[in-house]
Amino acid sequence: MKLKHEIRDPIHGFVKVLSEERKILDSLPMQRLRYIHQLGLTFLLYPSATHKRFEHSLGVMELATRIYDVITSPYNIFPGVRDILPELNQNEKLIYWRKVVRMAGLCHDVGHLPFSHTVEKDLLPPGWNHERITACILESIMKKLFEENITPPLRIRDIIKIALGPEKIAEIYPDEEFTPWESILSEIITGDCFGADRMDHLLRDSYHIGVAYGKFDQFRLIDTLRILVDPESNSPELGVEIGGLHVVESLLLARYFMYSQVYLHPVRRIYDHHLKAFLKKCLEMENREFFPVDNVEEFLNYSDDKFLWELKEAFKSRAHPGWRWAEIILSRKHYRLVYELTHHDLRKNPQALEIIYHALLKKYGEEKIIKDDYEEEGGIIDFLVVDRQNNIRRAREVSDVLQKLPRLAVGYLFSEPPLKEEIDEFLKEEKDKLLQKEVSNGEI
Amino acid sequence: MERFKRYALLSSIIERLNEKGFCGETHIQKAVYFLQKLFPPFTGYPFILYKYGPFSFALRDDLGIMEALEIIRVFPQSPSGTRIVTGDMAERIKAMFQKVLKETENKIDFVTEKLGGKSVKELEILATALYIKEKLPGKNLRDRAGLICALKPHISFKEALSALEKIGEIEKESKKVV
Repeated sequence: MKLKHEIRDPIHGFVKVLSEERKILDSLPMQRLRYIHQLGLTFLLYPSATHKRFEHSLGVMELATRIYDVITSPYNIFPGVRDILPELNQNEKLIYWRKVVRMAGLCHDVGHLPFSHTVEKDLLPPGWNHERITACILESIMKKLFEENITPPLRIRDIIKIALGPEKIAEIYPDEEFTPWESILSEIITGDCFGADRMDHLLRDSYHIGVAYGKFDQFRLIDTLRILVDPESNSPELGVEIGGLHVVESLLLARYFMYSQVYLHPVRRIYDHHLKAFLKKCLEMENREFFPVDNVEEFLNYSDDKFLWELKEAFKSRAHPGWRWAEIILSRKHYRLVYELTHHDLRKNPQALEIIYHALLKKYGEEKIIKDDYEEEGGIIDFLVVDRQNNIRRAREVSDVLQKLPRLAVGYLFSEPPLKEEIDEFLKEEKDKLLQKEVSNGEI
Repeated sequence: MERFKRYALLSSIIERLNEKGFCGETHIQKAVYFLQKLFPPFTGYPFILYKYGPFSFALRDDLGIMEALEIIRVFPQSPSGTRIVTGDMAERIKAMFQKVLKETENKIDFVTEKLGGKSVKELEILATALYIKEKLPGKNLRDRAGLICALKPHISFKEALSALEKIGEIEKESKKVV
């Protein structure tokens, strides 16, 4: 029997999978990811963006393993780190946690809804998100697989913690604490700056979309990652050697360009809204308000193919409750951008988007106008850097790029296509007057 | 809570902390944590025990958004990494919520007076002590100090004990704040 398998991958060459891990890969929740588009309906805008969560999951496992191997290599551990992280001195533990990191990388997305993030906020019951569904799937039908097929058996809670990180775990298991070691390992997957999830999706999305600016030197970046101890607080964090700082800068710039040019492209965003409206109708046809999160087996029946088929069915018949949205999506009659929030308007009035939205709603009604806004998550970007003299510093101190990196905040208003010209005229006349509106106590 | 109202309160906290000497992200995180615990509900951010003690990812995200909207500015400053000050838009946002800011002025003053100027390590110990006190309501000081040391091995038992005593005093004093 083969002990190791290689899977071809356009980003990483080959992703290697052990036979025991293959059992996890071949499970229903993992295979379902072959039918979930990584970027929802982005392929309507960028035709080759048809890649799926499945290959991304393999990519995250591959990158997470490489990061783990670099940061736990004895040659890369700085004095003092072993005292704070005793796990680094225990070979058996290092082997166990390597397996956990690989499986956490592989399974971190099993709870995704059809079309990935597109409908998560609206078609899940309050308090639910794909991370919580991931935890449920892992705790229920996948738990046995890890206990029975992997040697040594892996604790399911360890995999969930490393896959989802402290923020999401606190929402799901409020009493669960992270040890410093577990915090480091979860950073390998979920980290804002150099987490394997972010790295893989940037590289993979840019490759499939066909844009050059999502790329960065992943090999140099991973080779320079280290566990560093913050001199101010004495706590360990994932950081980078000064020689890799320029690659982190290029990753952050890649992220900025990918968000501004691809993920937040207004046409991509409006298709998300139309798809959401269509899926809502489909669920209503099944007498559901939300996806069935209380029944894992039932939930796993939902993937993109089911709804893409339904979309074509709906398009054929005006009697179908989702016909209107199917027609918009398949005939490309999407709503048109009528207003985009600018810094100039924001300076005039911090609630510019809301004010203009309310004015348009009043004039044209809810059916005709859609508001969409997004602000970059992840806080102030900063991390530890070790210089050539082994001094540990904050990246903001040593990187001019980081200090000047723009933060993304977009706000869009869309209208039904026939209204566009009229609204353009209306805003030309009225926008400045509207933005002069005084706002007190935040009430519009 | 409406987000601009949160930004107005955070702007006010940042200004007060800077008046006391220095304002970095840890200072804001801990000041907001104290304000929520001493004068609930205040901003209502969810906190977990994480790097440098109680930490809110939602607050972290808000600070990123505030930077994007030019409500705050972030400067490098050795050795603490970053100094945070209010930006051009802060006055506009605060002007929208004058009444709220007036009502919370004394509370913000009280907390920033207690935490302003402290090092990241001092803030971590104090805030962790408050977190553990809440977590172990019926326990004595020594049990609580023991748990602090177990969760944060770099904090000594003596430091933990002293921080718990200090928390007791702060809580007592906070009752007098109107």
